[in-house]
Amino acid sequence: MKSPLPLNSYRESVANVLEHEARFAIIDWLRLVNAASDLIPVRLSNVERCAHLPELLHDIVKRLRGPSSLSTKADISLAACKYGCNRRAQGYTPIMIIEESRVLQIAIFETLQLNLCYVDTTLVLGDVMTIADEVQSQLAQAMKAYLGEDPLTALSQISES
Amino acid sequence: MDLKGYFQAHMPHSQIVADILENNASAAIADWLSRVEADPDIIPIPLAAKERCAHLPEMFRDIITRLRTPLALGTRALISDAADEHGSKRREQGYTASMIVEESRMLQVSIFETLQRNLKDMNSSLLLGDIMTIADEVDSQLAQAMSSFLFEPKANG
Repeated sequence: MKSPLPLNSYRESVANVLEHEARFAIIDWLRLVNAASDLIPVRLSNVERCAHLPELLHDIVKRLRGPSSLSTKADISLAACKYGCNRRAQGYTPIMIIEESRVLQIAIFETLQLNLCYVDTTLVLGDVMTIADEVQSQLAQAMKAYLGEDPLTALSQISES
Repeated sequence: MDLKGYFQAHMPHSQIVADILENNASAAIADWLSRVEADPDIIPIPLAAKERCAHLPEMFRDIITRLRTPLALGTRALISDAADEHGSKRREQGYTASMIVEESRMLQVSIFETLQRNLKDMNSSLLLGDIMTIADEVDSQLAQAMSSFLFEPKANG
């Protein structure tokens, strides 16, 4: 007779939970952003507002599955660059982009907290730090693209469109 | 039970994290400075160490206050005068908006690495809320700094 697996064997990595619950996180993000309309008064459809999120979340999941530590230079996120350029075209200010980024982090954290019973808790603290770092890295890249500081980004955008 | 075990069992976790951050703020600031100076491509503005770090002691105090004040993620209840002043100062010093974001990211990394060095033996899942609070407060300070960075004072007269 096989012995039962320890509880942790049934538990998911933070990356898996975030991947499975990405849709929930996006809906939560939209709810929080709509509630903060005094801070982000630009009118957009839900589709336009959330267009960047699947790719940003995908990049976060990828970062969680990779070997990089907090201090390593982040991979370039084309999704973040595209997001910065689009938000500029849509009339956002830099502060609104920072607010949206803060809300994204909150939506991810709330999603994780709701699924904590399924998560492998031995790694969760480091993973939460990685998520916070990746969200800030994406914000930095979005801001550079917003300000037109990164010509490579603009070129890659033109070639994509 | 040793002393550390006793404190783990009897102190609120936010208290432990806040204390560690308070006791190691100087080390975290030194770590942040070396991180910023190691990569002048990211922040190419030459500044004396004193000018570069001037805002940090007060910002650390604000993060510690947030840890000791239970508030929901996303709160706007705490106003950071240090963040406000930091944004204005960085504008005068010639920073761009993205450099301020990069500095903020490095601050968060320095805080997390300081905590990782000092929390080795603790039950990590119990500290999750504190790490989320720190990340949220760093974002809040960034938003406040950016707000004053972008504010153009009206000319007199």
